[in-house]
Amino acid sequence: MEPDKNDAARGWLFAEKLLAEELAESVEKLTDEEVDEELRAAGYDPASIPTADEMLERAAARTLEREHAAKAQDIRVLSPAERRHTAERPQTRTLLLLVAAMFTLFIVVMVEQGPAIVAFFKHHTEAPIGPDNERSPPSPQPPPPTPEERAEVLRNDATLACEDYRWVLCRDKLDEARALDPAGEGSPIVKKERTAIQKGLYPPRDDKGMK
Amino acid sequence: MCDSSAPSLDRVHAQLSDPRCRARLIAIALRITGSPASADDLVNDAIMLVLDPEGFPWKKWTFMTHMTFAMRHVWDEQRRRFSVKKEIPDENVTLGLKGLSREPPADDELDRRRWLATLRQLAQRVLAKLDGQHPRARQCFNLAVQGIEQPAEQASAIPRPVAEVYEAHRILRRYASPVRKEWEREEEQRMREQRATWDREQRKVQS
Repeated sequence: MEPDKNDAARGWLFAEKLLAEELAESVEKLTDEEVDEELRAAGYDPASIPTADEMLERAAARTLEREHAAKAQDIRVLSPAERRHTAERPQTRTLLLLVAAMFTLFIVVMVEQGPAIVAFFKHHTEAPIGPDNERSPPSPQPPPPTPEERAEVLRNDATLACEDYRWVLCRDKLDEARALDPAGEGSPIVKKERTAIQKGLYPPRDDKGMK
Repeated sequence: MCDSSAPSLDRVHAQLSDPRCRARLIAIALRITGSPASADDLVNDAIMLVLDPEGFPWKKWTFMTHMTFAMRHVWDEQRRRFSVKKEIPDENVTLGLKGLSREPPADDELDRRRWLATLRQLAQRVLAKLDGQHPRARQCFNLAVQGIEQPAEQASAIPRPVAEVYEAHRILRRYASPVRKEWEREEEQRMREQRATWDREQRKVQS
């Protein structure tokens, strides 16, 4: 997090540290009663201050939440530079795909109709060309996703939607997921998202929000 | 990541065990965020950062100063990330009309460079305000740039009595505070504009 030495950015961080020190000192010198009063005035009940263990547990839980969100965002939006880069590629990619498809077609035809082609070029007609019954049985299809797996995908979508403040979409995805996997509704992330949706769609009038 | 084996965990836990310390942390978070729900989250996020050996581990300063600094940093970061996220709304991606990448994000370095550029800009503003005045404050600022931050170290580097260094720090605070407030106003304005752009894009897609 720290900039390199002799970087002017360090100077500002030092100034920030001085400002942080000032703010911390101004709160530290308040009496307990004054602190409680300040908390109440801001709408925070002093009796609900978490214990040290609770604070550490919540910090750890938030780490997990972040990891979950990071996983959900495994597929990410391209940066403008990447977009430009990919925009230049489609023609090359299409061409390569076309060549690959033609090559595959050639192989298939050679395997399926090899003797007939050879016969055609050699003008041999002795060997009758019969049906080819040596095809391998079709490979088994992967099993369809379970309702829980589908619900997980929907919940990941909901997380993305919630992060983008698209509350209605987020709610719909969560509802869909709940229909498929009611047990997953109890997860802390889902609960948190439900709360966020509620706040996002029906914000309380006295909530100052982001400062 | 919170590292439960980190020695800092015990030190942080010891500090948090004091109810007075916890109440004051919440009070500081409330002053920063202005919202009880955000204050709780901010304290938790700052603890996470302080426990992370690669984040902002608690080494020097008092615990309260360190946590205040961490909370301000986290809050700025969250607002900045929010605004960066909204900078390039591209509904074509969500509509499946544009490409997606599975490669690791390349934005982190760009993000860091943007952050450093902002810090440098703010440093320049403070220096511009100090221009021609308060040479001692300027000296202390420059020493901090070189990594010399402790009042006693700065006093011996100048060299002047430590009381003068404290006075220089007081002056620096006086000049840095309006610079910070000005920057916060600019950020709020920028975010408002981005939200408006974002809303327009959303309406366009929905229609």
